[in-house]
Amino acid sequence: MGLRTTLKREPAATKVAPDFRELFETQFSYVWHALKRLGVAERDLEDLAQQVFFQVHGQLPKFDQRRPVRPWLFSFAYHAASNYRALSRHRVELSIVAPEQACPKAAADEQLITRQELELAERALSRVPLDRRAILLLYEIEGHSMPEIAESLSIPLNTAYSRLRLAREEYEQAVKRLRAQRGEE
Amino acid sequence: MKPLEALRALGTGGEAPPEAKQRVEAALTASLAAAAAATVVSSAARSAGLASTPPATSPLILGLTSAKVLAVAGGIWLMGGATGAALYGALHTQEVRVVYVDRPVLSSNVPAPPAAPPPIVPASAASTAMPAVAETRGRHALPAAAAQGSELARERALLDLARAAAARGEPALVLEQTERHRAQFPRAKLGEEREALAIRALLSLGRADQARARAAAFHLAYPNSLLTPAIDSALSAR
Repeated sequence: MGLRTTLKREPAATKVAPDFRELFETQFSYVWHALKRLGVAERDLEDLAQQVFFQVHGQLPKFDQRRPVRPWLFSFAYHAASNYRALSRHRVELSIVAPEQACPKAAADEQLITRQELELAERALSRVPLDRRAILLLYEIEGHSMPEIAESLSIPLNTAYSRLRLAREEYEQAVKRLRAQRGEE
Repeated sequence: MKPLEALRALGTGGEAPPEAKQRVEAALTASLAAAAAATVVSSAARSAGLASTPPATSPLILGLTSAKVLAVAGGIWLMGGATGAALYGALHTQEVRVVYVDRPVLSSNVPAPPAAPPPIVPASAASTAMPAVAETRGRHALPAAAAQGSELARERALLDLARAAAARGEPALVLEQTERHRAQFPRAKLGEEREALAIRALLSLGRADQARARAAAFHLAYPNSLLTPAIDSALSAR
């Protein structure tokens, strides 16, 4: 009778579902960087990202649309990164500390200092154990609520809070150590 | 700037490399298609009761919760059998699949022609044959479950021999052991690992066309296998 205003895509089994495609388009970079910060080596990022979205595709029908999508996606990335690190060959490679970058020129340039601070933060973050790092990423960087984080990671709220406390300490310790290595302070 | 402030200023990162995104998208589309195809193949094979088809072919990850995925990773154990087939799930106890992940073994360099994909059994065969088979399955499920533990140990022992032969660089022996495994355990839990070993042994023996055909079947049967990268890199090194 009336005009069809929307054209539904064919939900063929071999095609990526529309919602999923949108999710992939908008959140790929997020997942990519989350995996990277969770310690996945550059060369393995594509494999792991594929794995994450494959699993997301399977679980998407169960996703509660009222919840924010990123903590949910993060939980897939977190599990994938944990699995990845459980393989000893990856653990060994990751335990090799990256060489210090070329000594930065002393400069009063505020922007440079900020960039250095950010690099330092990134490096310190990589020293925090994975389970605590996940909380730091979700809470400090992304600003999600602790109940949301606890639910996404399937841990009790109290555990999440105690991990956050510990994570902050570990992160600040790492910053101190890195600064000391660079001869600051 | 205080350390935590710098941390908060990091942000969630910029855009991922677009070429990486494209590659992942292509691979993802392919693996989702393969998973859909494998579901058809595996359910058809089960219902037809074919002993010689690759065992436990349900695409794992589709039906797994993320919590399970974490549990799996600890010991590189995969729990499987959760293909979207609720009917099958109701009639058959879930099977444990065990996967060893090892480094890719690269050897010999024989160019290979592209292999024809394995025949795909039409989905209609699955739906028509399923009920009759399901009934017999239900009756015999218990004794099979009781014998599972020791059978898994025997499977593992046999594949350990194959793996040791691979480590010594004796692909012919690897193939012998994997074929023995295939003959002895038509419904093997470790079929995934056996196939990975066999494919790489075939490559080492210069039988690249056979390796490719078997790899194609492997990809269909185990679309999200942890062993896929090892197999693919061995194949691409030919």
